[in-house]
Amino acid sequence: MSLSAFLKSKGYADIRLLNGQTPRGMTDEEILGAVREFQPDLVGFTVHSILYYNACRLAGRIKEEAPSAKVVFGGPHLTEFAIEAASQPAVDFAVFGEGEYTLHEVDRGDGGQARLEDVAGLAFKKNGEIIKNPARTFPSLSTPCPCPTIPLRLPPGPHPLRRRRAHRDHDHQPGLPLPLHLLPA
Amino acid sequence: MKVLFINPPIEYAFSLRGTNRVWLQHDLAPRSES
Repeated sequence: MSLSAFLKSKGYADIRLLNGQTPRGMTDEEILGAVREFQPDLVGFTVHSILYYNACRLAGRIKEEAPSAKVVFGGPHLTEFAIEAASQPAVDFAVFGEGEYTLHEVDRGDGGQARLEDVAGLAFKKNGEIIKNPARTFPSLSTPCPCPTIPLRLPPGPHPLRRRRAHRDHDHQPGLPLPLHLLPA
Repeated sequence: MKVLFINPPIEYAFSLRGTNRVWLQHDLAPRSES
């Protein structure tokens, strides 16, 4: 959401977020269907270590579905394993550290407006070699960064951060067939 | 330029060593309001 807001402030109009981490989850086919319908130029993955193999597998299938789309990996896993991630065949760019400015510069570099070797916080393949650029210095608090985009539609089902209603609902008595005020006296 | 950000789904959160039980993410997340 933060990256999306930043890219929007740089003039990118068509950005979508796909959250596969709803309680119901998403199948590969649902994700591939969204890719087929949207035909993105750039696909960004948020990669935590536990999601890494899933993300690699999905990236491979997305490359088959939309070969022209560039696949970018970013997220906490990349902080340690950027070179390993960039060596994956389906991954074009591995962004480590804060990704807002890096992602924007990657797009400019990919479009030929800048050299990829100059983009801090990026690992990528060049002539069969993995190149890892120096890390990006942490932006200062005065660096302008827009407020994260809030999705207009929340995913169906209970919010994952919301506690179960039963824990705070006073008229719910575990073990009783009905709430207390509906039981015969 | 069209950009798509994906949060890949979690297939399992962790497995317990020495058991065959694999804890699905759904086991950890609340499913319904009731």
